[in-house]
Amino acid sequence: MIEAIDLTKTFGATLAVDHLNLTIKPGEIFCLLGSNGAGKTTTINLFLNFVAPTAGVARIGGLDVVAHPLETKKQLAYIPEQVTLYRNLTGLENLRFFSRLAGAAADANEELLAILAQAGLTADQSRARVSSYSKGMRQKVGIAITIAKGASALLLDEPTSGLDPKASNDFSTLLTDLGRRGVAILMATHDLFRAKESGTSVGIMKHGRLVETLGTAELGHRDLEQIYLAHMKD
Amino acid sequence: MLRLLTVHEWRLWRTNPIVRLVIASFAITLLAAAGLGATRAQRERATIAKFEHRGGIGQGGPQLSLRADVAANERGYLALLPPAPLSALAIGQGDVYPNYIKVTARSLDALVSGDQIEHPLAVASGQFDAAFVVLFLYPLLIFAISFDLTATERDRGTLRMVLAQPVTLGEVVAGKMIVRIMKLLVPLLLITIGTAALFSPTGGSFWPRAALWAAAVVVYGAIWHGIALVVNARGFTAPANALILAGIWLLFAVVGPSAVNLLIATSYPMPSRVEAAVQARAATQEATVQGSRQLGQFLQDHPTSGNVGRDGMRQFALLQAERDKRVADRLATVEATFNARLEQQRRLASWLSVLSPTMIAQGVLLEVAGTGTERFDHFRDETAAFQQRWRAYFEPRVLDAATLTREEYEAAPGFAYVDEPFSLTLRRVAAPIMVMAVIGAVLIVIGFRGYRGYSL
Repeated sequence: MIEAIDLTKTFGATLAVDHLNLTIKPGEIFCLLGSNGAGKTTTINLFLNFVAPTAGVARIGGLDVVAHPLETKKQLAYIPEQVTLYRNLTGLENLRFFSRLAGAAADANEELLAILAQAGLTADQSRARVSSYSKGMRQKVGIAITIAKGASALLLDEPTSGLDPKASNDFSTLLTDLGRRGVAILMATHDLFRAKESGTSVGIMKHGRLVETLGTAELGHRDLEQIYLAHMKD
Repeated sequence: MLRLLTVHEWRLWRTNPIVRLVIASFAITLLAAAGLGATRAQRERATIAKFEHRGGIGQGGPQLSLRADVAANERGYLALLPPAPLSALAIGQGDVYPNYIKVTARSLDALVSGDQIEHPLAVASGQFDAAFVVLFLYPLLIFAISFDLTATERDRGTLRMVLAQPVTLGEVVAGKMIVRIMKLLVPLLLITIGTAALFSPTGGSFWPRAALWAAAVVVYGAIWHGIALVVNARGFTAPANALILAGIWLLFAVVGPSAVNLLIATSYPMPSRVEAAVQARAATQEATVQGSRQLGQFLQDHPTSGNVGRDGMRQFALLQAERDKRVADRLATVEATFNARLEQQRRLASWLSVLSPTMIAQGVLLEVAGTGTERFDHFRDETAAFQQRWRAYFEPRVLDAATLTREEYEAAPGFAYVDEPFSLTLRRVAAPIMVMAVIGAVLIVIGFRGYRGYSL
């Protein structure tokens, strides 16, 4: 479970996140929409404990991320816009390193290759150096890390930006699979279409505030776009 | 976790050709420096052995009827300083101070005649030895492999991926530091101590000194690793770190020691060794001329040695002794002035050395290697004490104008250099090693604390 309770972050006079209240239950995919500078990445950084909150609490699995930084990181996975792995290592070697860091059980080549296969990488691709990977392939390694780790919470920051439609669709399918497995997912994105397709709910963020939260089931693509643009006009 | 991070970092380095090139160059340079040092030390030992074989006394073998004044002064005794246990690692003052002194009943003639003559360029720039590599190249290479502890990984985003796992930034940085420390320290210690052990006698205080050498290298390296850590923790980009660290190296390893030398030379201008030698010779000549007038008078009065008789010979010896004493007194004054100024310089240098870790480490490494000024001073003191014994033995015989029998000649005192006890060296270097250890530890603590505010 991912929770924010009155979560606030200021940088000097700038209010980056303003009393954010949010609960993402296991299996839910919450897509956080908003323009650049709306506070989406800061929200992700607060959950990762990369920045300290000015007020409020960010929780993963019921634990405060500030008070329990290592315990909460055992439960969460993170996929940024660019999954930057070690270029001189293969996808398999990268996965092994991150799995070991996470304390994951899977360590043998066969187990790790099977996980990479679940994420959509062939054995040959997995054994190639990451320096030869496309962005989509690197994102798949990110998904593989999440699977290997057995994370109960996943934070994604613009993961489909720059992906071609096919790769973006593949990625969404993987996300949906993870949701079905009971992972609570928070994804910051600009992609309204992907948010509607993959998300169980969307939130619109503006000037650090969550101004609207909607379930995707009752929304059409056009509805979401209109609501979003209406908020952006103010 | 730390082990995992360290092994991972080690693995990344194995695949980095630039790092491999840097480490290989460092190892080759060290091998060359230590090899040259070992060759030089072996050459010194061979020379000493040659002199010892001939026998300090009566080089060429004793004769049956040797005049006492000839044995005491013209033949004299060559006091030899064997190479220090770790002299293969640091030439130190060995290119300035003599490792042999000719002892006569008249004087100790080291200042005038005993200096090693080196090429002026070598004296000015210092010798290429393992100590040089440790003092100057080692810090530069520490910076070369540490300017980018986390900057590029942060800028690319890899660090965020790593820190999204249950691991602290402190652990990540520690893993990187351990690899960097080991990559340079292990070859450095293995090559320097290994070469010295292979090509030098390892008895006596060799291993305790080798341990001190290792300790000094470790704490000296800790200072430079600490500086690199502090700069990295400021969160600049990798090129900015490189520029700052290059400036720091230049300041502390090059400009600082040069500035201190300049300050010392300005505060206590030293009469040059050549000038001192010229002064000493002038003083000797002046006294010799005075003494020679009396001797000349004596010789005019006794044109052939045949009609001098034993009493005449004794009178001649007495006049000679008076002249020698006058010469020795004048020489002592010149030497005292020279040595007093040298002592002032050393004292100031000792105080100012705290301004640069390179200067502190230099003093320690030379002392540990046994090529610092202390060992040469000790040799000189020992030789001076021996000269007193030599004179005490020969003077009555010279004044008696005696001719020595083989037994009498062989019964003359001999000299064998006895090194200062190791505990004295330990006492001298313990404080500077501790100071370096504290500086290094403080810098490393500041660096890790600085990383607490590191912006991702």
